[in-house]
Amino acid sequence: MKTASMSATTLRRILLVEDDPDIRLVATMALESVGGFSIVSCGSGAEALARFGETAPDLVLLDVMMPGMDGPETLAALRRLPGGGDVPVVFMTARVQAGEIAGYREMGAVDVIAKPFDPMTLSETVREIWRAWHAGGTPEVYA
Amino acid sequence: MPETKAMDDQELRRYFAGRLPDRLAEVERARDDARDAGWTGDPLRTFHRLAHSLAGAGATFGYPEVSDLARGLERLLKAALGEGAPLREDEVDGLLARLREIAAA
Repeated sequence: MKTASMSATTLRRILLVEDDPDIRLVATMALESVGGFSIVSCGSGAEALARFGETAPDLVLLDVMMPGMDGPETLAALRRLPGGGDVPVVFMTARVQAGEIAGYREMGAVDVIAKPFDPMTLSETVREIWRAWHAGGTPEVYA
Repeated sequence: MPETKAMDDQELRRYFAGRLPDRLAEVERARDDARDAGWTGDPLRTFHRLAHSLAGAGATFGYPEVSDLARGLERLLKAALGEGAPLREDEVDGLLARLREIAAA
């Protein structure tokens, strides 16, 4: 369902959740400097949940495989938070197979970005997903 | 880490080359912990996760050879985790030795 977040037609603030510090760094730099987004990065699902309220992101980029609370568990918990019910969430994972994509969508993810990603094109990929989500497009995998 | 405006492939490779020794040391510590635990439980899961992360990072930072070796390690560990397949320690150690060679180069 697209409700409150739909009023923000411009993608500005992204909550990035990624446990790998090197991937988190390069993704943050790429999204900030190439894409011009405001990034709040977290190293775990628990940290993301704790900072979600203050961050009020337009979109969440969420790694699937993380220690402790993994991506799907984080998404489920996020949906129960105030304001977390309809924020678009995009999974990032190296394991993208046809059956899994349907599973991620059923979990509530709007799309999947395949790893490894190209730092120089990551921002445009995220913008495409954002546009498609606003247009009501169907999820697809961006590699 | 370079400014993003200059974040070309060579910059990314240089950055990761500097990080690789520490990352590999972390993976090797996880290997030791998993071995001490009899290749079971959380230590084995941690070892698998770190191999998975190294595979992804290697590919992202322009080190396909690191990614391939780490992916091979990840497959061995996944089989041990999911299917209970006996772990070939010599294969694990061989892959880590080749990663160590790259890190030292």
